[in-house]
Amino acid sequence: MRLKWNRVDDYVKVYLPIIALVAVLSALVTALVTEPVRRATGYAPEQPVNYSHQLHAGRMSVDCGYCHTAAAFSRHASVPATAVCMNCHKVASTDKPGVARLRDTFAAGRPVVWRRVHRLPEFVYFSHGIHVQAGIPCENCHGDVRRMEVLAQVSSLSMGACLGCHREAHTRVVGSQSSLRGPENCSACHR
Amino acid sequence: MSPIEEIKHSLAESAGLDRRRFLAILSASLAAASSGCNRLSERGEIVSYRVQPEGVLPGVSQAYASSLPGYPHAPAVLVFTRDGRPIKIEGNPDHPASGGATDAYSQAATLDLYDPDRLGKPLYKGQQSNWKDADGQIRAALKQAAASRERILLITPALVSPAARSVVQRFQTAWGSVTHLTLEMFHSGEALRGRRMVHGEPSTSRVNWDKARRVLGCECDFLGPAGRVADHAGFAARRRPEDGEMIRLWVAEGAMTSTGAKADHRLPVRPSAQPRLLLWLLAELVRDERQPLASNADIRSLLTQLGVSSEEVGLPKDVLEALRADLVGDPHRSCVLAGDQLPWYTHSLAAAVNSGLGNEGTALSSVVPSPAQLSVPAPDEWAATVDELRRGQFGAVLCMMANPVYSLSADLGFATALENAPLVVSSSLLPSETTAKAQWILPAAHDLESWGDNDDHPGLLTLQQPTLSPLFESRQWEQMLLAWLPENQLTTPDYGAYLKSRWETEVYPVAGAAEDFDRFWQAALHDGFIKTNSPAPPVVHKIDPTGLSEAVGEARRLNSPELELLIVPGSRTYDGRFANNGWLQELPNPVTTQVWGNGAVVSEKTAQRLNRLEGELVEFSVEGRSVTIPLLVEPGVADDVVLVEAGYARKTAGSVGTGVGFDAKPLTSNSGGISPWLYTGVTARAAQGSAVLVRVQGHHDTKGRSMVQEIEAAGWLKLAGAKTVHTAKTSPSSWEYKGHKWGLAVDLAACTGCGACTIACVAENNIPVVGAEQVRRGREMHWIRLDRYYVGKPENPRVVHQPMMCQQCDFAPCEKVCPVAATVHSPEGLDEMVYNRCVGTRYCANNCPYKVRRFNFLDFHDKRSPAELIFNPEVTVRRRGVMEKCTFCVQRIAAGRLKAKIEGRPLRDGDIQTACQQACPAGAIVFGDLNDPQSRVHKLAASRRGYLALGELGVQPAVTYLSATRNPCPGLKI
Repeated sequence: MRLKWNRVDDYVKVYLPIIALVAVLSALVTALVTEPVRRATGYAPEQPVNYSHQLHAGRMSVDCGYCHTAAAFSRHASVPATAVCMNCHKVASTDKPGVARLRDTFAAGRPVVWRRVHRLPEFVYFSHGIHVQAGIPCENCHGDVRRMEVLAQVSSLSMGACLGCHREAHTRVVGSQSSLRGPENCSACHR
Repeated sequence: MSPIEEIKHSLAESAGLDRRRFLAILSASLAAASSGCNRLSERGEIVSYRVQPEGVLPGVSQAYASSLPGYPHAPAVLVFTRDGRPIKIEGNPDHPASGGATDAYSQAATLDLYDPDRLGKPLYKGQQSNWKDADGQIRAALKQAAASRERILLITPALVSPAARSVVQRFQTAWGSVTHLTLEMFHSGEALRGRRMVHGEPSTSRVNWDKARRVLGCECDFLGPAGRVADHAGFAARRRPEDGEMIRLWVAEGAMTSTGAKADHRLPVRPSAQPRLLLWLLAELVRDERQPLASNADIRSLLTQLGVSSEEVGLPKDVLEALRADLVGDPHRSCVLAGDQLPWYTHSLAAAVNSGLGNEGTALSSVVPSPAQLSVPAPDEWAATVDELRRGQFGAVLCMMANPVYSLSADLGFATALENAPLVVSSSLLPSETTAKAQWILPAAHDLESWGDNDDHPGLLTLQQPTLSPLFESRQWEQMLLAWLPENQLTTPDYGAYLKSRWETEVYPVAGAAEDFDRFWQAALHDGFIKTNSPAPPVVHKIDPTGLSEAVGEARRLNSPELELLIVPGSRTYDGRFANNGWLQELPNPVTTQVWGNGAVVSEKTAQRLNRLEGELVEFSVEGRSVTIPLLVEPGVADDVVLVEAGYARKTAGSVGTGVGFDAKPLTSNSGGISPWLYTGVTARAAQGSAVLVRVQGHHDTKGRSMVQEIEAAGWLKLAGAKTVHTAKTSPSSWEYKGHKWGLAVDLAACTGCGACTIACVAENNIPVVGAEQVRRGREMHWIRLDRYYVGKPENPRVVHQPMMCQQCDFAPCEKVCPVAATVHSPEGLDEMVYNRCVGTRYCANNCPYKVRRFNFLDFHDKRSPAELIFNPEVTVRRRGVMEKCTFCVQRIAAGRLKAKIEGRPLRDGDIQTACQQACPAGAIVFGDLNDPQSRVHKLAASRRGYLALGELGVQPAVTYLSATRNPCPGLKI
C-alpha cells in the first residue's frame, strides 16, 4: 500500500512536470524555428522566367498597375498576360535567354506557368481593389518590391498582420486623417 | 512447416489482424494521410493568360445578354460568368418581358448546365461513338429512307426561334417527306381554339395591369410559378393601397393555387362548373340591352334563353350578385381570364364576356399568337402519325429535345409504335424515356451553350448566345439537322454562323438600322434583343353567333357528377423537363409546401368519402385506365376535385429525378377528357399501402402569433391619418450605427410564393441539395424559405405567403449563445456568421425564434464532375458540421462598395441588391441602408403597413414586413 502511494507521488511530483515541461519547450522551440516557414515570409520560389521586379519596377519605374491590371478593380491583382510582356519585348532585350523563352512560349500559344508567392487561406476574401482604391501603397504588404531581384514574401499575411494595419490605417496611408481605420468585423474578410 | 500447414497458417493469418499486418496498415495510412498535406510553403501556380480577352478581369464577373428558349416563356436573361463559367442567371432589365426579374426555373438553369448526369458522348446502341459516325450513319439512313419512299418523323418542342424554324424548313425541303410535329405537354391550344370559334381567328390575351380594376380568373394560375414574370410584376404593382386604388381579384378554381392565394374573393368551383359560371355571367350581361353583346339579336336571343340559375353554378346568390356588380360596374376595366387547362368552349365564353364588357384595349389586350403557339398539332394529327409509324411508314424518327415516350398519352402507343421505325434518334440533355428507346443517343447542348433567337415576345426578337463552350461533346440540335442535310446541300457546320448570316439576310434589312450589319449585330448581342414591328392586333370585337352557340351548347351539356381530375404543370418540374434538377425538386410547392414529389390534392371531405388519410394510396380510374397516387389533403380544394401536378414519376431522368413522385399521365388519353388536362367521371378506390410525402411546413397557421398580418383596403382608407397599424418597434436599438445599417423590407402584398428568391439564393450562396429524406428530418438548407399560412375556414381559407430569411436582429438571440463567437454583430447591423470559427454546437439555431439557421449535418455537395463548376467563388462552400444562414448577400455588399469606390462616389440606394431581391418578379423585397432617410427601404420600413415579425420578442429585427393586403367587396363575406 505504502509502495503504491510512493509511486503515485513520484508520478505527480516528478515525472508529470518533467513531461509537461519538455512538451511545452519543444512546442515553443518548434513554433519559433518554423515561424518563417509557417508564415512563409521570405518565400521566394524560382520562377519559370527570371523576371526582376528590381529592374522593371525599380530601375525602369514601371507602374505596378501596368502589369497587375486587375489590382485596382478586383479581388485579384492578376498576373499579366504574356502579351503585356510582349508589348516591350518584341523589340527590347530580345537577345536575353529569358526573353527568348518568353517569346517562344508566346509564339507557341502556351501560357507561362508562374509559381505563386502570396496565398491567403480559402476562407479569407481579401480584395486588392478596395485597398488600392483606398490608397494603401502596395509595399505595405508586399514590401519594397522595387529592390527585389527575385520576388519574396515579406509580410506574414496573418490575421494579426491584417488587423494591425486595419486598426491604425491612418499611419499607413499618406495624407490620411487620423480617424481612418479599416473594418475589423468578421465579414469584412470572412463570408 | 508442411505446405498444408503453411497454407493453413497463412489463411489464418489473413483472416485476422496480426501485429505485422496492423503495423503495415498503420504505416500505410500514415503515409496516405501525410501525402494529403502540402508543405506549408507550397502555394501552387498561377497560369496567366497568353492574351487577356478584352473586358475580362480575373475576379470580376461578366454579364452576357441571352435567353433561355428551353425554359417556360423563353425568358430573356443576363448570364453572369466568372472565369468563363456561368454561375448566376438574372433577368435582362432592359427586356420588357423581364424587367430584370426571372422565375424559379431560369434561376435553376446553371444546375441543368452542370448536371453530372448529362449525356457526354454520342451513343450508338449503348456503345460510345463519335459525331463523325453519327452524322455519316444518320445521313445514310435518311438517304435510304428517301430512296425507299419512307417518310421521316421529326419531333421537336414548339419552336420559338425563327432561325430554328428555318432550319427545320430547310431539312424538310431537302429530304422531301418530313413530318414535323411539335410536342408540348402544356400549351394554349384550347385557348386558341376557343377564341377562334368566336372571333374567327386565334388569339391570346394579356391583362393591362395598369388599367384593369376587376379581374376574374377561372382556373387561371397566372401568378403561379409557371406564370409570366410580367404578370407577377403588373399585379403586384396594383396591390399596394398607398400607391392608389388596388385591383380586385376574383378567382374561381378547383384547388388552391398561388393565384387563389392572392385573391380577394376566392370561389372554390370545380373546373367543370366554371363554364356554367361564365354562362351565368353572359346571361346577366345581355340583360342590359345597351351591352355591345346584346346589340346582336342572335346572340341576345341565344343568351337570354340560357336561364342558368345560381344553384347550377353552385355559388351563393349574394356572391354571384357581387361578382356581377363588380364586373359590370366598370365594364371597360374589368376582365375575365380562363386558364389554359380549361376546355375550348370556356375560352369562347370568356372571350364573349370580355367582348360584352368591351374591355379590349383597356383591361385586356389581345395578341396574335406566336408561331410556336400555333404550331402545336391537334390530337388527331398525333393519332394519325403514330398509326403510320405503327404501319412502318417512317424510315427514321428524330426526337430532338423532345421526350414523346413520356409526354404523349400512353393510349397512343407511341413507345411500341417506335419499334417499327428502322432508325430512332434522340437528342437530349439528359437520359430520358425516349433516349432509352433510341439507337442513336446524341448529347444536346444546354441553352447556355447554344445560339438562337426567339420571337416569343410580340414586337421583339430576342437573341441567345453561348456563354461557354460545350462542356461535353454536345451539339445543339439545330446544328445536328444542318449536318444531316444531303451532302450537296451542306453549308456551314457552325450554327452560330448560320444564325448570324440569317440575321444579315432576313432580320437586318427589315430592322431599319442606320449602322452597318456588324455594328447592328454587336449591338443586338449586347442588348440581347431588338425591337421589331409589332404584329397588327387581332380582330376580337366581333363575336360569331354560330361559334358562340356551339360553345354554349357544349358548356350546357357538361355535367360531372363524379370526381374530376385536373392535371396542371408541375410547379417545380413543369412538364417533367426539370425532374433532374435538385434545386427545383427541393423547392417546396408554394401551396402544399411539399418537396421531392407530388400527390393527388383533394379536399378533406373527399378524403373522408374515400376513407383514406394523407399519404395513403388511392387508385384512380378513368375509362378503364387507372393509376395509384397517394392523397394530399389540402384546405381550400373544391369537393370531388383531384389535382395532380405533372412532371413526376419519370422512369429515366437521371440520378436525381428518376422515380420521384407520381404521374397522372396514365389516366389521360390522346383525345383528352373534356380537355387534354381535365377529366370527368373519375372513380377512386382505396388501394393498399401508403407513401411518404414530405412537406417542409409542420404548422399551417400562425397559432395567434404575429408572424403575418393582413390589412383590408377599406380599413386602410379608414386608417388614413392614423400613425401606424403595426407592432410598435420595441426599445431603441442596442447598437449605434454610425455608417450604414443594412435592412430589408418585404412586401407580403406582392409576394406570390413563387420561389424564385429561394433558387436565386441557392445559386448565389452555394447552398447544397440535401434530398427528400434529409428534408423530412428537417435538415433542408435554404437560407430563404417561403412560409405559407392559412387564415380562416379550412373549406376556403385565405393564404398568406411570407419569405423568411435571417432577420439580422439587433438583439440577436443567436449571438448571445455562441460559445466560440462564430456569430457576431457587425458595425453595419449584420449578424455575421464565421464558418471557419464555427464548431457546430447548434446553440444558435436552437435559440433562433425564426428558425432560419441551417446546419450542415452531412457533406451534401455533389462531388461528381462537373458539378463543382457551379460554385460562386465569392462565397465559401461550407463543410460538414458548420452552421450557416442568410448573410444579406454580404459578398454583394462588398462588391457594391468596391464599385462605388472605383467610381469615386458614396454608395447610392439601389447599388446593392440581394440575390432574392434581384430575382423577385413582384418586387416584393427591397434591400438598403436604413440610416439613409432617402432610401427605399427606409421609407418602406416607416410604412404604415410595416410590422416586425414576432416584434413582441424585442429582438429588433432588421427586416420589416409590409402587411398582406386584401381588397374585398365591402360587406361581402365568403
